[in-house]
Amino acid sequence: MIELKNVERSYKAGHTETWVLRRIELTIKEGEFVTVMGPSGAGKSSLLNVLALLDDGWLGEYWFDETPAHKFNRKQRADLARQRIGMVFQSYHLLDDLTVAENIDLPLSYKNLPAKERQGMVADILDRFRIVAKKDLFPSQLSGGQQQLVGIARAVVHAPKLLLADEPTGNLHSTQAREIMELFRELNRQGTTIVQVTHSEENARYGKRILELHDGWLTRDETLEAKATEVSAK
Amino acid sequence: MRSIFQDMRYALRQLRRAPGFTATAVLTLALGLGASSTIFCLMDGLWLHPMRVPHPGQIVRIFGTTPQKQEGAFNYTEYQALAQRVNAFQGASAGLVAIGGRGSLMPRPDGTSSLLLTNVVSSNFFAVLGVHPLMGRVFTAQDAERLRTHPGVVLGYHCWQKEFASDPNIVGRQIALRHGKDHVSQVDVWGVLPSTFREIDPDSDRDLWMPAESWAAVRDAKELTSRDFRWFNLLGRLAPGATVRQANDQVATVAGTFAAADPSSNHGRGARAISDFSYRMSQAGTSGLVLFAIVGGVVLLAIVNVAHLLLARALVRAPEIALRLSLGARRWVVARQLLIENLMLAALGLTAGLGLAAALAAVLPHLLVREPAMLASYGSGVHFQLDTRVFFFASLLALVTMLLLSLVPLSQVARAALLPALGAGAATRTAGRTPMVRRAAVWLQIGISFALLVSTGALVRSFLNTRTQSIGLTRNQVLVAWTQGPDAPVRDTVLTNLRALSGVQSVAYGIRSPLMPSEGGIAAKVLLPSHPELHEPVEIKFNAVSSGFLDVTGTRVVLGRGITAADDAGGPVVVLINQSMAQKYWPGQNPIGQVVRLANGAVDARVVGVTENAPIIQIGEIPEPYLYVPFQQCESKLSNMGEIAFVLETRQNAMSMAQDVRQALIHVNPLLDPMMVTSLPELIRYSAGNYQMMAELVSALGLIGLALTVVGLYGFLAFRVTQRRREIGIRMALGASREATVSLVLLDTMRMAAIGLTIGVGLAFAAARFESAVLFGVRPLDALSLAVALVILAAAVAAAAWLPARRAASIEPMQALRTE
Repeated sequence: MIELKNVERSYKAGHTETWVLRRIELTIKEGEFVTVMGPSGAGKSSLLNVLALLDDGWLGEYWFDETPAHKFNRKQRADLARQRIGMVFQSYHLLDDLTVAENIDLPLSYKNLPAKERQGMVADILDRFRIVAKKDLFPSQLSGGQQQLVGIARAVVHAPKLLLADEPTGNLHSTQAREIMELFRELNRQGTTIVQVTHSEENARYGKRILELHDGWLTRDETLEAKATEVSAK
Repeated sequence: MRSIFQDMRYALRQLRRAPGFTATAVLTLALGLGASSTIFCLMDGLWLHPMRVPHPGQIVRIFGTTPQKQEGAFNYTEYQALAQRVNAFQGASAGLVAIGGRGSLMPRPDGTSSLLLTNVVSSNFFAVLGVHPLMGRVFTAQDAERLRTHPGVVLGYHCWQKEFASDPNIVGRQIALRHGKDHVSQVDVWGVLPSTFREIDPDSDRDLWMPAESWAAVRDAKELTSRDFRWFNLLGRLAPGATVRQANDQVATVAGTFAAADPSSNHGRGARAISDFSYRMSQAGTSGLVLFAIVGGVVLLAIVNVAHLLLARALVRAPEIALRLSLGARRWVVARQLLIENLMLAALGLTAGLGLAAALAAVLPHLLVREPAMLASYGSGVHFQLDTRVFFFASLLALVTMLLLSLVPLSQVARAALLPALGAGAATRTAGRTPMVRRAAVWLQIGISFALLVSTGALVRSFLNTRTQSIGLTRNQVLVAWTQGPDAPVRDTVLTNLRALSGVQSVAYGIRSPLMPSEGGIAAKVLLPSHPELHEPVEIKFNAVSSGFLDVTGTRVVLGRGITAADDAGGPVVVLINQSMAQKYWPGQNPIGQVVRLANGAVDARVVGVTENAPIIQIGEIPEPYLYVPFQQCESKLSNMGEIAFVLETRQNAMSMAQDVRQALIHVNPLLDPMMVTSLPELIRYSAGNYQMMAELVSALGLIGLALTVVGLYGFLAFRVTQRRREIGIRMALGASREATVSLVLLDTMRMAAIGLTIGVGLAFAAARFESAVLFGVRPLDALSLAVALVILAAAVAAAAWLPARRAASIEPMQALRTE
């Protein structure tokens, strides 16, 4: 589904150039649940931003479903991301002055869908995530876990093939974190490819594969089929 | 005290650290304060500045009243009666003085004469007002008897400079004054007035000050004894404890006795007293009100702009304030610190504003339309000074501005919360909705700017109309020469000589030219036999004109015929009336053939024609009934007028012939040296001067207002985009295109602009109620002015929004969302 070939990313500050991603070679198959780990500053979020097509400054090749994203201009990349990718953020990033339903509707509003169809999709996702009762509340009226639930609902409302999550449980306590991770697993089972960035070993075990980055280098790529089952069994 | 100095040092450091903020705030305040100070300076110079005499607050003005007129003059007999019987005034002769304007001719060695503008005053004038001479002495009430036998004058400062080359030995000398064609009198120079005392009204400067007793001796005493010569304005100085109201009651009571004693002459006449300040305010009238309202709008725009800046700065400084509070600072100490910063901004703004005002005040005299070109002087314009009054006005405004702006830091400190500002959440929250007060400020800015633009459009079109619309006068080149009236044979010679000048197309004459700066035109008492209900004669202004006069001045005859050469002294007396008179006295009827009884019933004149309404004193005046009488019939049957105005239609620029015409008149007789030579286009231009000044000033203020709005709106939107950076990042991460982001900002702006425009239309409607009085040929809310204002404002709003919208579209979501 995703193939990165020799992807590099650096930032220039004056005469100094700092590399955050070095010669990344990576293939992610459809239906995978990948966890990206590594110490702070290792390049995890940078990799996620490249995958999300939010970043334009990288070099190399990026194939998405046989489509050469690296040859696209900014607008074409944005179109591709809008159609195929969903994003979940550590800080939820809900808009304070929009209700839960309006927040979930936000990505749909950028896709030129008829209003009625959008309403139906939002109603479905509210129902699926069991947050219908909260649809008219504002983010400030929700707990952290509930806010992240809305964040995930917003990320998957347009049924993306790839869901990217940057420290999705970083601001949540353990019970809420487990609920969110279960939700990710369920989404993965239903066919959504997931790439998450986390520091948590426990969260990592919900995935099927672990990537580890150090100073921009991909230093580990390990499949965890059995361990994931163990976590599930617990 | 020490901590205040510390606060001041810290405030200076803070302002230095944010040079962009400081410069924008100071410049904005300077524009607001500078523009308003300049307008105050102008209004003060034109209308508001009190008379330059001691205790000007005690001065009241007394006016004669009739049902038609509330600011009439008195004859000298009435003045004397009032002076004797009213005790609300202090000083000599009851503290009441009389002043009337006249002209005197001072012969030159070559036989020509200088026209000296003369104020004929009661002998107690200078003592009551407290005016002291620069040299020599001024006359007093005790000198009255002597002045009858030994006429004397006091010179105005500029007359002393101009006519006598500032001769230090002028006091005690005699000067000659010519009266009529043959009579020359010698008058003693008593003294010279200081340059600070020019006149009781600001836009005039008289050459000679002559006591009434001397005027009676050297000129026609009838002008002081006849009841029909009402040409004296009265001023009084209130006695200690007396009020304007008491003075008003007393003068009204005394005036009532005039009517009772002589009902035929004084029917309906009364008197009233108002303070000099009220009088000046009424002179400022609608023009002053409109100017001040517009200045108020500009100042408000400046205040709102700076408030925006302070609010934006408040958000930036929220963590610092929270930190100070969390470290134990008392809220009032933090508030004091912020107030001192505001005070320093206001002080810097005031200094820069006064500098700007000083520069603009130097330009002000050029904004006023220059008086018509003349060979003899006629008034000398207004002086504008940035004096202490302007300084106090600007300081007061700066203080009010600062107090209003203080609400920002005070509310900031009062509401400052510690945790949200300091905590991690501060970084992750989106901006949310802009507080209502800030949005309302933007609406108000757009609204004020729109109303300003509508007013500007209306006033500019009004001024253009004075240049282009039909006004009942020709816009062709017509020269006007005003001189002593020659006898008929001499007049014929003059006409022959003037017609012989190359470039002259046609020549005519009348008592006066339209728009000549005379005081109200000449009025006749008229009876109308077709209106028996009018028991008393009505006063109607008139002009006595030769055949061809109406053709040369471009006043069309719309019914009947004009005045011809056949309307001479021997022919039946005829008269032309204007449309206003026809509509007033013969509505829906043909006025041709109606009788107008002139000269207190002695002469019956038949109406032979109706002219269109032409302005008499100034462009834009409300048309009033007016008569045109054949000059020769007026001369033989009504009265022999002293002066005459020749009007010459020329093939070239009229003013280029001024010297030729002057020489032609002097050639016939040096006494015919014109007192004034000008052209009709000059008179029209001068008469429309008020429209021009208003259009220029309001355009400048409108532009300043628009600039402030664009800067304010840009600042608001730019800050708003910065505030919404995270939100925009989220939206873009969720799929918003760059076009959608631009639309987001533009739509937000358009919503605010729509509400602002609604407020603006309301303000424009409110302003229209006042503006109609100062407009010429245009309604204050016409579709074109509204449409032009809308287009300009839309362009300005779009310009202000474009950069912030582009900046919003260029936000990199990845960077905006980075929270680590």
